[in-house]
Amino acid sequence: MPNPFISLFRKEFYGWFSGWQAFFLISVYLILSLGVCVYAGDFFNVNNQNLYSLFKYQPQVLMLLLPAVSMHLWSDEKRRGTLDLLLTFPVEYKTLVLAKFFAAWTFCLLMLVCLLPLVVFYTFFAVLDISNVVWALITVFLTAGAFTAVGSAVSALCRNPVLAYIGSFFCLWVLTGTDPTPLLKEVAGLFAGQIFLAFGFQDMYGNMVSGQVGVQNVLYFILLIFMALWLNVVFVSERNGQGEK
Amino acid sequence: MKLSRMCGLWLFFLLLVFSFLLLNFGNSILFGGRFFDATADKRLSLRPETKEFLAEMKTPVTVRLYLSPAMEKDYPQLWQYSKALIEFLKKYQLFSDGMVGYEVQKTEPYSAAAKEADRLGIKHFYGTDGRNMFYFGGLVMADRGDGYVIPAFVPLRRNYLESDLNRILFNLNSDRKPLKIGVMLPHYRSDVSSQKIILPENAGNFLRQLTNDYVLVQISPQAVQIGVDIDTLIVVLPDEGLPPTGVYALDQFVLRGGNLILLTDALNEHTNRIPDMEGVAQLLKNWGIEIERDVVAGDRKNAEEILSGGRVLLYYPQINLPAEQLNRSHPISRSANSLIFQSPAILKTEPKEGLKTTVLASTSAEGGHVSAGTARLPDKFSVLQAYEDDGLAYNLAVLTEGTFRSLFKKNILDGTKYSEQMLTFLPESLKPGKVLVIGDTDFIYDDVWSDAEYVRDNPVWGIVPWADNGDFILRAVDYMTGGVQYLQNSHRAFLPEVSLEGVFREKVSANHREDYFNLLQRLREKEELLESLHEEQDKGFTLEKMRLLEETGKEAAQLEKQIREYDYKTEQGVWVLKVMFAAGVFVSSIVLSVFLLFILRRRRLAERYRNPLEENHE
Repeated sequence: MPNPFISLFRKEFYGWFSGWQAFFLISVYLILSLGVCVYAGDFFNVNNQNLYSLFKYQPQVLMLLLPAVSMHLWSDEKRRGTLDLLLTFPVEYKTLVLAKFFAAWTFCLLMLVCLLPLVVFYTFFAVLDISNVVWALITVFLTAGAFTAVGSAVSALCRNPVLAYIGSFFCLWVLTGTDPTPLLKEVAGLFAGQIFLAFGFQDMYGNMVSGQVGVQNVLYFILLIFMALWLNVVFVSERNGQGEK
Repeated sequence: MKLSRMCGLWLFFLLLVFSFLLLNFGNSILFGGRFFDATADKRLSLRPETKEFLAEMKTPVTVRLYLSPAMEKDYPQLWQYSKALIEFLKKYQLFSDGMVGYEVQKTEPYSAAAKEADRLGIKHFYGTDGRNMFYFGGLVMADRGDGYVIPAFVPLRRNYLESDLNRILFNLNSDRKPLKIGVMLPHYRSDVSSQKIILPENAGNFLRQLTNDYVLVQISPQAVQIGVDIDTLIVVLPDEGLPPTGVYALDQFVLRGGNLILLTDALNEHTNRIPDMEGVAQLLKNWGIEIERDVVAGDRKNAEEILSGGRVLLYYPQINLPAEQLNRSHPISRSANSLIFQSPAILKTEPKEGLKTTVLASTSAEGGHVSAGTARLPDKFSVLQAYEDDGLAYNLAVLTEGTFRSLFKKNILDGTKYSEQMLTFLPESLKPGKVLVIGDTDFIYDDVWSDAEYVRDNPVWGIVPWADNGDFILRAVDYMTGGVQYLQNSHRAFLPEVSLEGVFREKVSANHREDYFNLLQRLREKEELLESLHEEQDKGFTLEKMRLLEETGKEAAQLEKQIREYDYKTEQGVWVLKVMFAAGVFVSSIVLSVFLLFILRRRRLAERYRNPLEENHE
């Protein structure tokens, strides 16, 4: 008897390669990433020993692109009418959610792998801080995981993939754009401000990408993924009109 | 029923968000501010010595940054540095347990913050549109009121950021009165009416960096006696040498326990003169350091390239000593990674009773020499032809410590009316002293070791060193004065900060660098000729002069055109490299993605026969 998680994961992951959508998404990701890196990130003019220009705008690029990945997870199934069939399998909801999430996250890893030529080319011309770049790539991978998890939860709520895309984009925009620090600094003073600084996505991301890796930062992303996936399980089970399977 | 389910969902959602915030709160309490520095050069971490000092700080200090956020667009590199600086200050705050606080004043043009910044002397600079005004400076202030203004932070001085901040914090936390450092420079003047010290034009940077921590006092080379309040004396040997009274003054100063840093030379490259070392050489020989007269040291292994006669030459008497040629166990030379010497003198040591001699810098075992007279020749190719390889390591900086004996038998002015006003003659040291001899007066010239572009209105924090000559002198003064805290605080060595554009420009221009320099030199000569012809013509007009003037003008214009052509070609080459780089990255990324997708697509086909779920789903 095959492991249901692995079977589902394989089905979801290899499903990306049935048509041109994977190539399309990866190409768009590469064009956006490299374009933003060169133009907005001023790639050729600033010191890029940690590929600052590339990583600085990755949240914005992923915010645009990952809803397109996550919208397929649930709302596309609903649109095609295959969700009900999927839910009849003797598999727990959490297994379903996890398999779909990890399949999408692995796809994100594939997207990131395609950025490696930039790293290699750069080392031909200048000194690269490899350990910093590796950690920055891990951070982008964690960010992609968090964004996919949030997108997956939103996708479970919507029947229409376009709505799922817009909904995910909005949620990610709120998540990445909202910085409560100035308000909290005024209300609760410097100490509270410093603590709440830890909730801001930009600070968490910025710290890790610049090479300051803390348990706090890693836990932030893991918690975000966990909470979003939990919400996803609840949405799927509620959608099916059941409690725990 | 449906409504209550919706309410339940909302409640669950809100509880989840709340618990996320709560967990993060706990997370930040438990792990907040504790980071692992993932950078290769540990540029985000403080040195252990800094952490130790911060933990023991007594006086609260606030760092106020005046920072214009709008500069991000116009000056991305500066903005990048400002972010790194803020991260650094967070660490200062953390490790000092709040004794070092920081605040960021967002400084918009013409705002109250901008006016305050102007009042403090913080430098402003303009945006690329010429209208926006930006600030990036700071005020470091102790709670008791005294403080330091940093007019501008310079990213190129990043290696020194930690040591600069530490020095300020040491001073603000210390009750020690700043010590007096005497400075005897050939071109050193002071404005007598205002007691203001006038720094020498081309050798001011090494003194500028002393002004934050010490009180500088000018000493004339004609002085017959050095005041007892002077802790350390820096002497740069004048080309005409020191008079016997000056040598006597140094002798007695060291014997009274004073510390001496003496820069002597075989050939002053800046004046192209051979200094008269007579008196000083005798004095040093008496203390176990012999200067080889009229001989310039060279080092084949550590020689630098120079331009001479339109050619780029590896010029052995111009030496850039790397870390392995410096004494890593001595606090003065421990942190230096590169010292530049220009035609230095060779220093030989011989043991003397009561004195301990330490070599701080020496050439590699591929040392050689050339006579100082030959080294003066403008054609450096001829100098290299006369150069002799000795296969020996020559000392270029030597430190002697202990009890010294006088070169003199009695007061040099004995029998004159002045002798009664002078301090008693000492035949040997009253207390131990220290003497550091550096075999090169060019060592301290700004253009040898630093960029003076940023020091205007930003004297200390605008010095951008490319060699550690200044740091070596500063640490020598710290060592002489017993500034232990300063000595523990050294600058850092980070990965080189370069932009790809700079790298590309270097690569493109490398092909025609020699021709380019040649053209520049020829143009300079033509311009000088033009100037003299104009002067000639002003004296009296002749057709011959007119014709010569026209011809020279045409030739100069032709050379300028050729230079512009090289500039244009360089820009074009850089642009082509940029496009090639971007295209190379993009095409390789696409090829990689196609390759991966091809493999995965093939695996998918195999998967269809294996995975029952997929078959059902399809």
